[in-house]
Amino acid sequence: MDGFEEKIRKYSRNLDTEEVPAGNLERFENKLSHERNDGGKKLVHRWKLATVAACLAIVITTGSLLYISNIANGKGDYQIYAKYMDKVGDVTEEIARMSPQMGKTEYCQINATLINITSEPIHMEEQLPDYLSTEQKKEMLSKYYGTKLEAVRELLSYAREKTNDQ
Amino acid sequence: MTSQELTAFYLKWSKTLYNSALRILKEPMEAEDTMQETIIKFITATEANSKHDVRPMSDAQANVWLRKTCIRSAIDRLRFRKRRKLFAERYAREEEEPKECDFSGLSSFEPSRDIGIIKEKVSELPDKYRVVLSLFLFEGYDYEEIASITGQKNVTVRSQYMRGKKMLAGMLVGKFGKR
Repeated sequence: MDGFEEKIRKYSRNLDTEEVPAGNLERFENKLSHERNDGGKKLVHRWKLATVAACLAIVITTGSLLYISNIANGKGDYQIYAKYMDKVGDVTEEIARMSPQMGKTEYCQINATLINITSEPIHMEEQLPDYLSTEQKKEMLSKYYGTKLEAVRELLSYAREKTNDQ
Repeated sequence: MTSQELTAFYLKWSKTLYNSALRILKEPMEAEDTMQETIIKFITATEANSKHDVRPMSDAQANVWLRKTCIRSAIDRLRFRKRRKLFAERYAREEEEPKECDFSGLSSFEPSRDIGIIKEKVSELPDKYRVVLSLFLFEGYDYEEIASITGQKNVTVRSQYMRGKKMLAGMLVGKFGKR
């Protein structure tokens, strides 16, 4: 690191100058309340989407086992996550392309479910204990992201059905 | 936490996390969402831990957790939004790494005065360079930590940093001149 970079790092805390948009505290309180109560307005098919996501998140099918072996492909931990995110990106894009054929409510529901399935406060590879070997970690990550991907693909099937129903 | 404690906690962290997310996302409402979701996750996890008698995080631990989680969430959102690989491994394979770029020729740069210009120019860089330079220069992460956060190899992160740095230097020479 040269002197220029050191200087920037030294003064980087001065960069937090942008104010959060007005009304943010109220929005935060609403979100927190919603998170705690799981209340707010329930959308029509929300239970169905939640069931799809929950059931498929714990079922590993033959198809996903094959997919898992494709994801792993002898690469490192980070590769597994990157490939998984790429597939998720494909699904996201396809759902976005279908959105004109869906109602706004339905589209928002599906998007929210997608984010719920795929979000991770702390990525899995950071949570794996150090005593596991690289191979053990790869296997666990492949299974973990494989099940998430299965749920995402079922969500895509659901979205396609909703589009065909319109 | 009581309502007052929650509000105080939010006000303590919101601006810092918001700015970190904004440097990556460049979209104020998305950055706000990312910041708020991060804080909610922390609060939810802390409240769950307290029910199981798990010792709460220290301020320093909370700082690390919140910043890293916020940045990761922002990068995930960027991936969703842009739907392209930010740090495609193929770039590291196909192109040679640029030579070390030296900023020492920027004669009139005064950090305490000009840091805002650096921030502005970094925000103008393409996504893949902006994210890596922001994490390295402004958030203080090293290559290995950035690789961990972004899910990319060290060599890819270093390559993207060098390219971004070269681009940034080109933008700054006109502003700060050369010795």
